[in-house]
Amino acid sequence: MDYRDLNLTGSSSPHIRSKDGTAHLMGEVMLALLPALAFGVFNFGLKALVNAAVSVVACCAFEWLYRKAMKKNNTVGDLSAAVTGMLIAFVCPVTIPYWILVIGDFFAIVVVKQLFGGIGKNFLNPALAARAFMLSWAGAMTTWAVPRTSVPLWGAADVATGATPMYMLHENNLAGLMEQYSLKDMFIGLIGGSMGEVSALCLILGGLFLLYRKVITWCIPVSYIGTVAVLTFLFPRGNDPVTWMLYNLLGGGLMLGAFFMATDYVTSPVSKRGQAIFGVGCGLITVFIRYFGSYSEGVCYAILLMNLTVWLIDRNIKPARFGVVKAGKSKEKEAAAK
Amino acid sequence: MSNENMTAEKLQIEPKYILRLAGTLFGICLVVALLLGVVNSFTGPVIEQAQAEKTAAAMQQVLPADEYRPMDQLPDGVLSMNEAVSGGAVTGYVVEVAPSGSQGKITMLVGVDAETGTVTGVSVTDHSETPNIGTKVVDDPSVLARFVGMSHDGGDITVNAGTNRFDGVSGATVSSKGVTAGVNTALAAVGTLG
Amino acid sequence: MNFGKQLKEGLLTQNPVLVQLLGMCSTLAITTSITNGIGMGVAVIVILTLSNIFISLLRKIIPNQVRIAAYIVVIAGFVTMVDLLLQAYFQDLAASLGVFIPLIVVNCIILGRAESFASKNGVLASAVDGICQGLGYTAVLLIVSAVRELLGSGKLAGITIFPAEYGASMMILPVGGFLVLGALIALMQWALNKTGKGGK
Repeated sequence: MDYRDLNLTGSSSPHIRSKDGTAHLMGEVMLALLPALAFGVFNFGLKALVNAAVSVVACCAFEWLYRKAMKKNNTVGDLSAAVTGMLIAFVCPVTIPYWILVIGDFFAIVVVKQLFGGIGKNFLNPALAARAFMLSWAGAMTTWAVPRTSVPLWGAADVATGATPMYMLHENNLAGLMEQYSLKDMFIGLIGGSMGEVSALCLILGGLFLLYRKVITWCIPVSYIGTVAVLTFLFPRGNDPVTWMLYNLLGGGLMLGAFFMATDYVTSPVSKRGQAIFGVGCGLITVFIRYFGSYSEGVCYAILLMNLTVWLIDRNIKPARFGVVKAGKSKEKEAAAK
Repeated sequence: MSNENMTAEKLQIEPKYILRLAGTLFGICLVVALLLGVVNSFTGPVIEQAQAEKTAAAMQQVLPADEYRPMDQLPDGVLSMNEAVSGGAVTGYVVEVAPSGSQGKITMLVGVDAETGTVTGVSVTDHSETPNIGTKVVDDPSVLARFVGMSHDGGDITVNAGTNRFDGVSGATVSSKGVTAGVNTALAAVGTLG
Repeated sequence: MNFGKQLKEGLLTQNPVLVQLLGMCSTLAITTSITNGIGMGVAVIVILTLSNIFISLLRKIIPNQVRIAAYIVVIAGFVTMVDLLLQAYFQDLAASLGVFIPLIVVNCIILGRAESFASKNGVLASAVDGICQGLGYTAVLLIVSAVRELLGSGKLAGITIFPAEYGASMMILPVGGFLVLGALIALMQWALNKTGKGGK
């Protein structure tokens, strides 16, 4: 056989084929979010599913329209907008009116993401920035349905509402909280709160799946959750340290934030050490807001604030280049050789 | 101006020139000061009168009286205090306090009845609360009117809790707590008068 | 002297806020309602025009070494006068603009125009420059405050367009000022580049 008949193309290494692309990774994230979504539907009724669907569709539509209007290549197929839409629905109360959800989607996709150049160029996590903006409607954003209610699809005026665990922790009312929700309820998610944040169990399952599939690394979640655990254990505000710590870990948006939001590739540092610093920073700010702030939950602002420091971390924490030995180490070696 | 220029000028400077600098600057200051004096002479009384009217109106709102007499001895945490005098007798006190709200100080007047020790009215004169959230407390007379008739007989007033209870506005807890703290301070201040 | 050219510079190509990026502090802070925007804009037009006229008149008398001090005294004098007049006759406006009226003293637009224009040009041209640059500032305040008031509280100049509970209160908070001003500056740059007047 003549080699000239072969279809050969010259290219430089590496020659490994992989189906890892943005769409693939984002698909995995969607998959990892499904258990928490299913639990949201179980806990709050069908409106949880409709919220997620509305938000995903709106995000994709805004992404498509903006790229179309600006005559740029369309990135709606990479599913990143869909993940953003899903996360926005997750961090809102299930009773949220649809129009607020859609405004939040617009803010996330157009203002936070596309105005800065689209995927990979936003400096804030779009879903969290949208949540911060949606607090414009503070009443709607802080009305929490009690667990195991079926929220009607339209008009949630007469839904039974109650204080979330985070609110009671903020008031330092651990005894009252333990009376209302046991640790088991907190772990499974039979509590009031944002529709995708309630079930620590489902979120941890999703997070472990992402770790197993190597979509995310352990650095940020471990340093983030670890910092919150250590701080709440050391400063339990006069309560039993272990119980206080566990309620703090399982309540609010910590699990969703640590596994799915702080780990966003675009808005977190690249190096392992940088990621650890990022996670510790998130943990510190979260606990500070919970203890000293006027809001009862601080995960959203903690991650947003640390997003703003990523450039600084990345500039100062650079991984060692291959083949380069640190000045101090090479001298030590020389000394050892002598 | 570049540095080079400055040093060159410094070397050439003469006493006469320094006098000219000072003289010109003095002249400008003098003219501006005169103009300001003229403006102040006719706006001053107008501003003063407007301020007095505003304060009097706010005091009338929280505790109507014939006359208000400023008090010299002020308890802790109180900006100013006036005795409300009607028909020659002290009927109550108007206490000005500035508790912390969610965005800054809330300056408010609290009227307290001298006899019963109950709140007769609350009026917020200055604040920087969040629009549409904190303003639901501080800009809404019907919310502030919930304090009327409350006293310290059952201990400090608490927000959404306890027996001596003020029903705050949901979503505006910090502002609700702020005005409640102000009323508590005012009641305590009147309480120290005995 | 060319009034049309100066007006175009003040409003568009040399707009003090959008192109020279001066006076940002007050632009961000007071643009929560159209009333505030217009009140502040008019105050700045008056002060800027008066200070430009006086500084232009005095430009040959003021020695170079003390010019900044002299300018500041003149500007501070006019600002204090406007402040007193507002407090006396427009109390509501004075209350809502608060500390930002006295702060006009350090508004870079005024000192900037004194230094770069009034100290080098005749009285009439300086007066026109004051009006045009002031109009440019006011136009920006008007746009930013209209957007923020409408989106934030559902009103335009105090007239309700839609119920306040649908308003995004973030737009009246500081973050809204940054968002709208940022978008406006970007839009201006885009328009100037498109028409080839961006300078580069």
